[in-house]
Amino acid sequence: MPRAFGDKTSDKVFLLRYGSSSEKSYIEKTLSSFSGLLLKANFFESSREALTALLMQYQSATPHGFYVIDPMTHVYALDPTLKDKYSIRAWHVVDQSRASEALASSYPSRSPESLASTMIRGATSASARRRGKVEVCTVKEPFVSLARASLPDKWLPKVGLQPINTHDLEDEEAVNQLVQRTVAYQLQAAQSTLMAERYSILASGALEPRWVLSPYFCIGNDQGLDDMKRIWQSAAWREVDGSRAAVVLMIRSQYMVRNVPRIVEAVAGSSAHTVFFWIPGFVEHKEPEVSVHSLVTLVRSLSAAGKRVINLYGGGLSMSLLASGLDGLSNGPGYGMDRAELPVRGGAVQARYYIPSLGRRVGVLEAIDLLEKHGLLKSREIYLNRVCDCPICQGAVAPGVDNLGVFFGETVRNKSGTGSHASGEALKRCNYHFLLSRLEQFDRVRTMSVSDVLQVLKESIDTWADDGPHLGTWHDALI
Amino acid sequence: MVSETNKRVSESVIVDVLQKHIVESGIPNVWREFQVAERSADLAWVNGCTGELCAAEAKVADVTRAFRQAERYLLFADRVYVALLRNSTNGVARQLSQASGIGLILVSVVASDVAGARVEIVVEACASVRKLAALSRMAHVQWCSEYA
Repeated sequence: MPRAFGDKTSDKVFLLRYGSSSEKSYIEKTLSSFSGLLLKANFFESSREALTALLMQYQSATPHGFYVIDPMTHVYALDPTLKDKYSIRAWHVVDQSRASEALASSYPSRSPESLASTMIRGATSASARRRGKVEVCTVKEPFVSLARASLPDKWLPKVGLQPINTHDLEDEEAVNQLVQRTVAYQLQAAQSTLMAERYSILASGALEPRWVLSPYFCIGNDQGLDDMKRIWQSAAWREVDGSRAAVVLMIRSQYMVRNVPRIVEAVAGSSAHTVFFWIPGFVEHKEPEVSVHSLVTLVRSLSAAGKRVINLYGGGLSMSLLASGLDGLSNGPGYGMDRAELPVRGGAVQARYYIPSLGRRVGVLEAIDLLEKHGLLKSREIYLNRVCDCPICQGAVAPGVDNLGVFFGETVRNKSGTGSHASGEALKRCNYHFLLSRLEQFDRVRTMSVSDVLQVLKESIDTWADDGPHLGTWHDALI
Repeated sequence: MVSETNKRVSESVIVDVLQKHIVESGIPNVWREFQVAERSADLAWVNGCTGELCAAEAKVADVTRAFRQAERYLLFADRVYVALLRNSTNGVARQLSQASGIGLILVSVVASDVAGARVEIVVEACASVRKLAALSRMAHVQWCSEYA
């Protein structure tokens, strides 16, 4: 008899990442099937009450469910002068009379006059200009409050004005303060809304996260790794219960490829039992052989060193790695099988269909092309048996297998009438199919042996031939 | 060959030339950037005699990619073409065309002189054997929303 989703008999975990309020309906409908929820700290800052309510509801409905907060400290090391969508800063329209006040509130260490020439500009819209408005460049509010809650005092004057460099960690006091505040933030984020006396009965530790994540910055060289070691070996970090502490290893691929033993040694020295890792921009199906082999070695070595290893952004390879030392991964409904260092935001969202056995999300027409070319659209039965039988797909092929492209690829005209884009329904169908088929894969793979996984990969290689060259790379790396 | 004269020709010039050629051959309605399931064929038109929906992909370089993209249009169109500049790489294009049933159109053009350009259908497109009924219906509905 097939096991239900969410069966907690295995130690492997599959986290659902919740990154923005636009994902709310996906989260509410699928969360109970995942092992736990992963929340970004800046999102917590902007939606604290709603998220606390969601967590209370989740924990009462799913007793084994848990959550984790990603402290997002790395964003303060990004260059704040980058474009709005990549930066913790943004331009806002305000009354001219309030511009100085806005600057003072965002950058308390500097006088508004000293910033006015670069941080205030005329409004871009003519109607705003007519109404006496200007644009002011301020730090986005969730990042201001998150910085105040989790960064050391001496770093705060730099927030939004310059990148916080890991060299700033030289000061032991700053390291300890960073760790203490980041840890305290995660422990109290959800509880803090329940502090009013009338809610105190609800706040007795029930809403604490499963793991407490270390502060983290991107490691691109030996110095960066040494800086992170200072965090992991600090007095404040050693005070966190090891079974609950999780170090976050955010590491550039080029550095990882050349330094796996050094990285493993550094992480092994930490008291934390768990490691969350993120390799920015690591697209598992596009990576060269050497990077894939390094990732597999890293995961196996960390696991052999006694650590639980969880990928913050896992794709098809990570699913296969569950049999080879990986203890968990995380996905979100939209983008989410990989993530670049700079945040990606804005622009029209394209509907992308996830092909489970290929381990890739591709455009809908490309997906249909691939499925048809490899004989997987010959009948409903073939599709449901060999591609996906999630409830969304069952609905898609109910009228006939050739309905798939229309179901997932439905478009609507742009407002300008010059083109078209994915309809809201098509996006929903693609995203639900992604989450449900990933859950099905996780449920199947988590109890498999390495040889079972290799056999499944071999079958996929036979199916996809030249259209899935990455499958051979994954297979060879996992042998 | 004509590669010297084709220098500095952009993809949009090939599309302009082909569109003009189709219109001059008696088909008044040609849709640029015809989108199905969020992918756009550079040109689409309906053959007045047969009622068939045709699609074309134009490329200056990367012949293999042009055919890979065009193969996807076979899922909704009756006939599909790849339009390229006439040059020394056309041998590969002929082979790909014959193997896939996708038609091959070669364009000779000097700089951006659309009026003086020459268009030749080198390999006629075969009727698509990959067409999926629902996608094809979707494409026809889209066409009719503009030109019915």
